[in-house]
Amino acid sequence: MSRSIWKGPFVDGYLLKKADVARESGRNDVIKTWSRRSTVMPQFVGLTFGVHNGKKFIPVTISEAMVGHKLGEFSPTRTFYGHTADKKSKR
Amino acid sequence: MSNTDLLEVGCFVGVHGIKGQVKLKSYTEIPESIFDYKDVFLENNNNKITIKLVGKIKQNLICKIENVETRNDAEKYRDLKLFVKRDELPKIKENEYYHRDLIGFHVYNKKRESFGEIISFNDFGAGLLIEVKKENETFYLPMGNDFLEMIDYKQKEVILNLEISFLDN
Repeated sequence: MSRSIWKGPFVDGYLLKKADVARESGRNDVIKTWSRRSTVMPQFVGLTFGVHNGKKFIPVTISEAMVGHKLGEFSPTRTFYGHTADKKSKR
Repeated sequence: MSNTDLLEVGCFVGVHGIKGQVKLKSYTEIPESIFDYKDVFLENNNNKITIKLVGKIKQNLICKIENVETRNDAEKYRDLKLFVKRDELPKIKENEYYHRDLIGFHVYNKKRESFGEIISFNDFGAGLLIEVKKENETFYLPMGNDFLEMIDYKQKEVILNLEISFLDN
């Protein structure tokens, strides 16, 4: 058994609590979080998180396919403006 | 023909070989669908061109433009965008919409609180998002079926089921 499997998935405790409250309330509120390191758990499916990217919150609606990934994977931190080589070729 | 009648569907990103072939980056959902359109126009002078699929390299399509036989001729098409007429797009069903049609629409919630104006659509792998601009600041809002309440084309408004507090950091 590899070390990461033995340790199990990591989720910030407060996020689990917030998710439980949101699920029980039945409203589709956005749960704001800075915890990009938290793993997407099966009980998060259907919820929407606002995952901070360092500047603003990116809405992330959880689907089944996202279970096991980290929340931060769905909230890009960089903006791609194109390669410098592309700009040269437009001259 | 005005710019609103045309939709960008691709771009020539380079040339290929010495026989006048060009590399085409297609923005259509299925890249090869760009060849299904009857009329394809060039960006600089709205000239109609005929393109034919020759092959595919990585994510780009290799195609041949009618009456372009040499690499030097093909170089003139580098970085030019391709457009099709808006009328040629498939008709949408009742609950569908084209992203482009909603650019510039105002976004409100059910309490008529304003989120700003739509400037772009994005998908980072976790559902459709709209980027809205409000007082020189931009925000991302979810646009999935859970949140979209109504689109009013007459008033140019989108109503979302979302609290305004979402914009507070």
